[in-house]
Amino acid sequence: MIRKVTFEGFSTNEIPYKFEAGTSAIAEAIGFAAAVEYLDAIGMQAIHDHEKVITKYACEQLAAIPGLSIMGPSKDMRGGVVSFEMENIHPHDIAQVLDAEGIAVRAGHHCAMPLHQKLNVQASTRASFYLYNTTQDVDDLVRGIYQVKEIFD
Amino acid sequence: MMDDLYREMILDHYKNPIHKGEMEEISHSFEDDNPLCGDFIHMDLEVDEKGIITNAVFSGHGCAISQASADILLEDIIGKKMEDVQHMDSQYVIDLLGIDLGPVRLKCALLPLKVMKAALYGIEKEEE
Repeated sequence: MIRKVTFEGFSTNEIPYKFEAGTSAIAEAIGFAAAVEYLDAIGMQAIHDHEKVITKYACEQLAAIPGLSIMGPSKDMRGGVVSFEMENIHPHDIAQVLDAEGIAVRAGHHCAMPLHQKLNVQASTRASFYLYNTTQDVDDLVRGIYQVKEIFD
Repeated sequence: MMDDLYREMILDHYKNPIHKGEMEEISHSFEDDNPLCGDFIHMDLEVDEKGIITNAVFSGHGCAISQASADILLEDIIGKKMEDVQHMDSQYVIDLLGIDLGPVRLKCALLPLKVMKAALYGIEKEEE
């Protein structure tokens, strides 16, 4: 970080070392490298394709549930997330029931309050899919949502 | 755990609240929300000259816990003296609801208490 320090003042090292104080995050860097190797071995394109397949399946399955509306672009134009609303059922309650079924979703504004304001929506529920998810997870999600409906409808 | 959380009582108060609505004679009023999730509670209360809470209603929208908690809380305080209600704290509401609330839902359950206390004792609304 520094070049020289005296009682009168200090001079900084050149960039980037100027901004790197103390001991570097060595373990983290090594961990990061391991993560990169892992993902490289699978292939980012393969991961992306997998996400698309799962998300598309999720959109189709969720769209078929009465009283549920998906927010956002069509299934071909989105990343691995599906945000949705359920008629007269609050996201917190949806998430709570799904949690009891072993399914984790996010409930609230997903760090996007202005978007919710624009869409005129109080809060929403969001399922996200990644490399580790399967179509079985989507089936479980759907089953969980029918549980929610049974309790709250 | 889900059975515990959404016990009959909570669902019943959520779907068929007794104290949801409007009333004419209002002496104290307040409203507040949980900005992170959109729970909103508005409360109107009527306190007579003896300091007894003779009537109270709420309105609002949000999750089952927040709305049911409002109904259950009002059911509990109507007929009580303002001074008896003053000491009500988080634990009181938790016991009243009788369910095992995790840290996430605690805020939902306590919103009505916050609104009630602000209405009766004039706690300042949090700055945005």
